[in-house]
Amino acid sequence: MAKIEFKNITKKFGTFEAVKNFNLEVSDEEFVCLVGPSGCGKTTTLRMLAGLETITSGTISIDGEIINDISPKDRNIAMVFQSYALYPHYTIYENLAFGIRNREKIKWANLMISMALLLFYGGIVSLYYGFCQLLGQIVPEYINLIFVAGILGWIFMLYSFPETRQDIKMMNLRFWAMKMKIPIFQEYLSREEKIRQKVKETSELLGIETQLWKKPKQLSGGQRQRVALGRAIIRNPKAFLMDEPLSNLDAKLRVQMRAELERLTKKLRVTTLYVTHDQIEAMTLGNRIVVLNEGIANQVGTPEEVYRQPVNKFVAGFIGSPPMNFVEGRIEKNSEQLQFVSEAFSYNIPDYYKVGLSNFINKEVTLGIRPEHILLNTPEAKLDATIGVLEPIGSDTFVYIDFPIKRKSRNSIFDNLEIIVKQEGITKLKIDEPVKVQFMDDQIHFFDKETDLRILPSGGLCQTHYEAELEKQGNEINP
Amino acid sequence: MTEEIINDLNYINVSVNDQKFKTRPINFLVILIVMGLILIIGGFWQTETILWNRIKYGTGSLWKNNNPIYHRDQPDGDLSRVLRLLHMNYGIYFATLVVLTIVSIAIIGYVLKNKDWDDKMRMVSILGLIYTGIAIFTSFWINQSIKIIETIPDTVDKVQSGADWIRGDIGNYSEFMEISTLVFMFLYLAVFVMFAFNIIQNSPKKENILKIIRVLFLVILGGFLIYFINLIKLYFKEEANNNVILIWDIIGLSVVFGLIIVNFYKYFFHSNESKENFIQNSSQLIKMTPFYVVLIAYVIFSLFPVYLVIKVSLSSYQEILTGVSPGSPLYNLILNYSSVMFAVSSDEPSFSGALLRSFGLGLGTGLIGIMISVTSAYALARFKFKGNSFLTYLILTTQMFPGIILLLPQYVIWASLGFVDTFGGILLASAVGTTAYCTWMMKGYFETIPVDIEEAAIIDGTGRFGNFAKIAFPLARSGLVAVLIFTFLSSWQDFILARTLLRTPQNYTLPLLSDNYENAQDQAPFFELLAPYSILVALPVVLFFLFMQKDLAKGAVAGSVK
Repeated sequence: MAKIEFKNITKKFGTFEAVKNFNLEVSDEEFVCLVGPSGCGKTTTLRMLAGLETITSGTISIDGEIINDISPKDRNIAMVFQSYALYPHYTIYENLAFGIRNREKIKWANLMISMALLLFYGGIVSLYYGFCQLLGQIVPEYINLIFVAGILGWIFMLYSFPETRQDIKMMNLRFWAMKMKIPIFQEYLSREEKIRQKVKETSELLGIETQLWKKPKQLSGGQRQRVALGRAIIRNPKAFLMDEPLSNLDAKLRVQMRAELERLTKKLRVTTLYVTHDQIEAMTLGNRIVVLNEGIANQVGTPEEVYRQPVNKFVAGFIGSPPMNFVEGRIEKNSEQLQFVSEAFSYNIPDYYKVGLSNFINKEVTLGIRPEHILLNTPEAKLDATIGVLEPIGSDTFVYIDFPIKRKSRNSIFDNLEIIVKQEGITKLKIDEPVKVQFMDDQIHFFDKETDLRILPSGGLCQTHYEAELEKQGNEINP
Repeated sequence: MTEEIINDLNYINVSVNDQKFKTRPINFLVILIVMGLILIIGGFWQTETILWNRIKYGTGSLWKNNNPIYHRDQPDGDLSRVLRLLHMNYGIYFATLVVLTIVSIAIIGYVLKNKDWDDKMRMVSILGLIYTGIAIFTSFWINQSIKIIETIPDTVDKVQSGADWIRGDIGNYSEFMEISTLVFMFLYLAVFVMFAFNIIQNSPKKENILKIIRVLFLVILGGFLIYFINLIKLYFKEEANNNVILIWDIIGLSVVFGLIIVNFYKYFFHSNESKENFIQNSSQLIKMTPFYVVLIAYVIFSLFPVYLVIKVSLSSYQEILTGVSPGSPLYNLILNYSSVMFAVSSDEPSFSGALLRSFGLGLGTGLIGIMISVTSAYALARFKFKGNSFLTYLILTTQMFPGIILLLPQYVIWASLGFVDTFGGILLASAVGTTAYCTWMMKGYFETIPVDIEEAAIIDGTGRFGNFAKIAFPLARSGLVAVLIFTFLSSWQDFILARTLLRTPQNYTLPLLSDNYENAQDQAPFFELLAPYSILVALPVVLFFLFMQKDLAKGAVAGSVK
């Protein structure tokens, strides 16, 4: 339940700049996905928020409080790791209880318990000695051996102490606490009761209530992931940080867990930062998406914005599956008609884009069109091509169509201009068949060749999030 | 007559196949407890006998000049003692037979109930070995009782001691023992045959059964052979007397060969479905035979000293010197081991005291080693600071010098500090010697723990120390155990340092205790005490390894990451 604000965050590893001037405001109960290729700095950003990495410059604040110098344990943030990072030597119960136990410490409680037990067992040995003395018997010479055995027993007991079942521990403790009425014990008991309640709630929420007394290695991948989520949920943190939590699961389980995660976050309504390299996860889960590349935030927006109005070629290519088709070419003006001319084909630019492209006449641009926005063999289709490859996946078919290049240098199949088309269902098309291609006129994007930025239909270029923030700050300094 | 026998057999068969006869783990537990009780009672009986002798022949050290066993050939040997020995012998024999019978019945029940054929085979092999053991055992006890009878001197007054009566009684005993042994043998054989038929009736594959029976009979045949050889020897008593010591060799060899035979056949049983497979397997077996022969020879060669030490520890002083055995091995076992462990004499250091000191030294060294090395290794493994790698290699460099170089200067320093001949002094010295290597070892273990787990703990609210105490320390458990074993062993078996720094016998550790078992000049040392002493010194180490080997194996971190 918190508002998180990144301000001019920069992270340097030596001379390498992993994150460059990152700015982001995450509002309360928002689910933000950080997405980008590996090495783009998304995990580093998350780790800086968690406190696992130092911040080179800039500030991060939670609810207005700057947390740069607050230690990780006091930030009250929960993190789910890619590798689950469960504690292998604890049971699932202890794994879930670990956070609460660390936060609500009872001073000297464990020491007091050990001392009590030590006195108890020491008392038994001394009683035995006393008994021998009382009866006037000589203490047998093998008492030394008993002592050794006792010491070994003690070592064994201490060795196995944290792994004993919580129930048994509680039973003994409750008995002694009832007898002795020591305040520390009472405090300890009430905390244990609270932990028990919390663990019960959380495990029932996640459906792992039957696994509580197992060790992590006895669970399956999905169950481990649930435990890792449970460990984050149980503490009621201000924010969840998830570092590619689903990437260790197999494909089927990943889809299932994705739906579960969505349901869970909708129910819990906690501010969440979710790092992933899988754009489908980002599109389905996030309220907003941050697309990062080489440490720079390219675009911040809702999934629809990012999909429909990408700021540059990178975002357009990264979001969507299969990726957007790009064709390089130039804008030419032929008798009042603007035309996009490439090596393979020329295309009449629709009316709504004419204003935007009027500045780019005789300049190099890139045309971008998504596979789902291309139609084949319609009456209005004009462009000629042949079908190269067919990839039916059941629900859809990916059709790879080849445009022959006019200035073909050599007789290679890779010299064709290849474009992917997504068709619903299974098509009746066949390989090497000639087709007519039509682009949906309202779904076309043009990108400036020099800056890779998208050309707006109303004129001018888009701005990346990074540049927009820089400009905003510049305006703040020099209004 | 024959009908009766058949009825009896049927009865046994029914009782074995009865629904109520269920072999559950709890039954095995009960059997184990019963076995243990029998052994304990037998042991007490033996100890009581020893104590009785102790009272009779005076207190003090058991072995030096006061041992009744050593003076058995003297004319004033007590007849009641001989009778006692005989009773004891027969008691032990009978108890052993009872235990083995119970075990074999349990195994038969298990085999009949169990559906896993591999398990059945294993059990049947064990059964065969048990019967072989019984055969050998029986012949041995017959030999023993006859030898005890022979120790009764002729000069003893017949009227006073009733020697004739005793002799007659003993004669009856030996006859009874022989007859009862044969009866037992045939009974076992009958059960065995029944059992084989049961398998034939119930088994899914009849081809296997013939092979099972073949193995069984091979194993049993070995036992019978040895039994009959001993019976023949028994009739030529003088030869038997001289070769008694060989019986233990025969037992050892028969066990080894029995195991080899069983293993070879098990190799066949695992995969023979058809004749082709059988041929393939046998050709493979022929190929592998030289390899196995060499391996077995090597095993025998390397285990022979161990076997020799165990054998010596079960014999008397006389037996070692002359080869003639006056006492039973169980008797010798209890006598020798208790003599080593519970010897009370003012001028000699006690075994239990030395044991305690050695344990204290081992554990103390281990604890100091862990306390210092774990923290420093964690720092070297996890923190980045200048000179980290230099420091690490510096620590390793100290291990390049042999410890004996440091002995003299160490002694001088220790002497000037007043540490010589104190427990604390030797503890410090042995801890100093091992800490550097332990640090190097622990560093490696800490580096195998994934950093993710520690980061998760940091976010879950632990500080730096809590992180170390709750995550890294427990996860490096296998490393800790390795360090503990290393330090424990190095101080447990250390002789030179202890010899240099310890002076008075009251401060001796276990390795220095070997002085105790020297005899007078020009005489052989007390081998029969030296052997149990060395076994007792080695035993904790072996047990330590046995219980800790699970932790030594990797896999403590399994399941946490991915």
